[in-house]
Amino acid sequence: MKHAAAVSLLVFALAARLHAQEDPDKVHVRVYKKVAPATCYVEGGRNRGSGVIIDKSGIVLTSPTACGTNTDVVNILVKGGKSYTGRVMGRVNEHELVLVKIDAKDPFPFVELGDSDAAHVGQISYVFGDCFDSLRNDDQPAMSMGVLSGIYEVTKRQPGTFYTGKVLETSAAVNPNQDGGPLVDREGRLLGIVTLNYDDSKFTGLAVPVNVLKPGIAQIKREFENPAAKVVPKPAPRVDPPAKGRSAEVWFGAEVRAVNGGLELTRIARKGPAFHAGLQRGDVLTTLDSSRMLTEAALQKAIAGKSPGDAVAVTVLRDGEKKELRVTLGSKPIY
Amino acid sequence: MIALMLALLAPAQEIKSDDVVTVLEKRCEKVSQKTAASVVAIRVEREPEAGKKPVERKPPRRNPFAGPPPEPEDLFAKRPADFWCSGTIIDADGLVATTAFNVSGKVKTITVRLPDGRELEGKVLGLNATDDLALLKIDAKELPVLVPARVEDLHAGNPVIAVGRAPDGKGLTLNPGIVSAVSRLGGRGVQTDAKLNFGNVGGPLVDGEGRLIAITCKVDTKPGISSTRGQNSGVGYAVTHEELKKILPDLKSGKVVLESRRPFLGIEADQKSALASGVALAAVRPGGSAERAGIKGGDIIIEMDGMKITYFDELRAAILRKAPGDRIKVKVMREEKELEFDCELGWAPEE
Amino acid sequence: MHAIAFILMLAAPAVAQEPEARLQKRIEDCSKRISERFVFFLGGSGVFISEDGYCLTNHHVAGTQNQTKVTLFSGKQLMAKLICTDSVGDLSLFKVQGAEGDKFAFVDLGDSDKLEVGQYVVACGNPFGITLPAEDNRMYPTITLGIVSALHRYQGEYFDCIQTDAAVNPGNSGGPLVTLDGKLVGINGRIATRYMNRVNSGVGYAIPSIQIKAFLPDMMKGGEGGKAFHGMMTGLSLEMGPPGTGARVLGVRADSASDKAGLRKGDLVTEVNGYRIFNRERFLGVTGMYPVGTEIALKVQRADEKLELKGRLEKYNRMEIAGLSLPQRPERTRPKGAGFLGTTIEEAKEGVKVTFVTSGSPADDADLKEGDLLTKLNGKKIADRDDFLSRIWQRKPGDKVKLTVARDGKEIEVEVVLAKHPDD
Repeated sequence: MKHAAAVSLLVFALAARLHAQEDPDKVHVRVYKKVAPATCYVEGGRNRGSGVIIDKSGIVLTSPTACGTNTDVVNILVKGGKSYTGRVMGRVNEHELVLVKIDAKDPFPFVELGDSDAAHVGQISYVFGDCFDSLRNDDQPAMSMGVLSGIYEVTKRQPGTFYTGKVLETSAAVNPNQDGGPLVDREGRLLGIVTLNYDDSKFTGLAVPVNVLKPGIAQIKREFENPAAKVVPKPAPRVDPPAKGRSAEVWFGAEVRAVNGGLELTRIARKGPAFHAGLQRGDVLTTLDSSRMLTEAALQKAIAGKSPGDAVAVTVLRDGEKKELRVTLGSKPIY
Repeated sequence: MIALMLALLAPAQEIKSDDVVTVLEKRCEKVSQKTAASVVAIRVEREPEAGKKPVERKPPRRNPFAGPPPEPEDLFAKRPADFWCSGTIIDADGLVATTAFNVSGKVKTITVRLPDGRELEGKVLGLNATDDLALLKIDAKELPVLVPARVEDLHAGNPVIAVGRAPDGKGLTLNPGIVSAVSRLGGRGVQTDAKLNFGNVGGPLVDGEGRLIAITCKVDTKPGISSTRGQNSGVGYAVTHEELKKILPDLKSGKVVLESRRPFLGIEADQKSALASGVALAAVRPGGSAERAGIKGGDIIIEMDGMKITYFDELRAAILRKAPGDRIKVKVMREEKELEFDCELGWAPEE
Repeated sequence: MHAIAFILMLAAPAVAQEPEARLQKRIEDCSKRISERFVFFLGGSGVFISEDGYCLTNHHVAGTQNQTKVTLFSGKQLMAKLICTDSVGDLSLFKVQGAEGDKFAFVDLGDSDKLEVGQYVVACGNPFGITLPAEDNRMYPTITLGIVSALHRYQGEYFDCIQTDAAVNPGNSGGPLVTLDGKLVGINGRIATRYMNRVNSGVGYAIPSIQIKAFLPDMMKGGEGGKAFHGMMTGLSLEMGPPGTGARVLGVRADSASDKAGLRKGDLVTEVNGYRIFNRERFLGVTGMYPVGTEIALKVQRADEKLELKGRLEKYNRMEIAGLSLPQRPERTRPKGAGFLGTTIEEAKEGVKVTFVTSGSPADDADLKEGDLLTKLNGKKIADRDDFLSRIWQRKPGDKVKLTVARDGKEIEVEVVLAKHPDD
């Protein structure tokens, strides 16, 4: 009797030892289970991208490239077929930081903020997000795996991005619409938020380090909970410093198509310079500052020599009538 | 009895091994420590093209990461104008290997930034575009050099890491992957799925112990539908340290091969041939190595350097393992007779 | 007794091998084994699935050839005969014609439904056709390592595919995706790309072994004249939308497979064959991975009732999926000169739903978006698609219309000025 008990205890001990060793094929599954439920598809204005829930009460951290630079309402999709609307709590566009509060009372799965200052090259990192509609259509927050392949400064902004400064580079695959999504460490703690910015030498995924975002996150949360504590923001630093003496990109605000005798305005940007000047879709632009406009290149050349704020005299044909208007050129908006 | 059970349970605590992720992270740390001192950052200033403005890479009109694909543009075929790329110290007396691509074009000055912060001028000694390697000389001594790995011990699936320098010239970059194939580029290189790009080629490809396997190279910049145009595809190449050793004397002595050259026999295989074994020739290129040796159209190549040739790719692969100027023995069947010819391989530029 | 305990004690330390070393060995062994079972097709990849030479590849690699030359790992070149091809699911079954008694190393099929996101997988292939015979005359394919990034992706006719970040490129098509135990869980066939560059960016799609298993028995027998066909629930119009609680039925065509199964307008399909259905894409994905004729079990919510229905899949029809022949909707043509709004719309529960906004159109100028629900036109409710179209087409370019739009849970009124249709 005593022997039987002893033997079964021995077998149990052995089995327990064997079982304690994880299945090496699936070592990364654990992080998926932690982070996938907190990964979001995010949509606001004309933009879409990814985001991540960072608080049980349903606070989503995302990027203005994912949900717009001045939107108030954001649509959110989370694994499990759950859609929510959220309101923007606050933003720091030049850090590519937007906080959104989900309009719902469920307790939400969330990721903890990590410490990006303690991050080092070579540590395991994962990227989550809506990858080619994986979350938006297929309810799948896709995951890719790699390491932090580099930590350095980027000083140039690619079109459509706002952040420059220290970045975390990852060798994990990053694809369109994963901007705003989380870069996490081996425990699923947030190391950074994926940015659309990339270095010309690499075209690889970069993330804004979470420590850059922490002050903004804390401030927005404070102001949201206590609007009276809202600090009057300092004027935002100039995000678009002219490079090498060139002026900020000048903008006419219309798309054109060469037709017989001029350029047909096929599209007028809403609230753009052409719009304000009274130009309409269908107008045929014939001259600009007395130069004939017969090709798109001619228009671009004429505009390139100007600066935002300059006025140009344009002649257009509308329903057979000639009209002369003045267009005050603007600066090309980011969005 | 109880004592025995306790004894059994006790080792469970002592032989605790690191979990997988810890080992992977520690490997990167070890590689970082062992290789950092031998990986340099290189910055190249180039002359503007005569009569033209300096070739600035045109920035894309819209961010290609953001949603639907942008208009087709020459986005990536040109290396960026202004960044630090990578190189590997291969000799304590100031010899640095990097890719030929990194130092191609009308080079004005080359700055090599050592890990200790010193910035020195680099001079190109020699260059080989076939292997995509270049040799630089810097005025420094007693530099640390990587321990070479045994290439013959490599297997597909082995973990490797591509080491480089960050685009700001300061930190180290690490891109882990596996050996995808042990013998490519005519036996001169290995293939890896570690992410290679403009920034890290020229740096070392090392094993888990930080030993040098090869120098990463050949970021594809050709235009065309099958080109990666500078973007990483997961198919990456690195030229082994053994091949580097072979061409080192030429590089040191100033040999410059500006165009990638493949060894060339100069034959045209008969595509319609239904031969079970051997390569039937439709024709031989006029003036080519085969014609000069006496091989004729209609011949059937059955052996090269004692190795039986069954089909075309075997012949092609065998030739690619050679170098322009090498002599090979080719055996053919002509009208039921076996003839042997001595050929000196010419060269053809890579398309 | 003591002896047994003693032996156990000695054996115990041996099993405590470092897990990463084990992982490394598994990756290496897997790489070696899959290379030996690999088949080189012209322009693509394949893999042996039986000892007597049956092998799989993609239809787009070799499915239009009755026979083709293949090269094996050993360097040997043999002919392979097409047994059956599935042009929709992109799968082809060939048989390599070896000598009498030839035995080929092959892979076992795994269970793709048991995969977990994050799990290691290995892809084996011949990207960009770079493999040439090595010095030992062997043909070594390319091995890449990655993880499962997502499962059950719907990519049109890749109904239920596995997404992986293991690098796969043109040339990998038809090749195996295996778990580290060497079992085949997918056939690589597609990649998503960015920048219009046809190279890998970390997203590869593989046909799952669950679909291969469903098709193999019939394909081995040659299918229907060498062809295999997918099934679908014909005659079904489903609401488009993000993942939710199910796929909403908007319409059922009389005498179709859906009608025979008992589906009705308003039903919410929540499960098919044990797979949770959360939207139209998932429904199409699950039903699409079976051959024609397969019987499926559906769970449906109808008002307060939970029903269990049975359906039989009819032949897959591309045109119907694309909505070019919507059930119960005769095609209407726009009268020339009619006003143009610039939206593409779909039936919705209430009114119509915008699925596309033409750039530069009045709808675009009015900031209408994909996903907007148009409920009223000039204050009057929009009954359905026909009603909406005829009321727009009644008007002329230059006419103003007020649209009531439901967006983000709010209702707004948008004024649009109709324009001339670009074709006029």
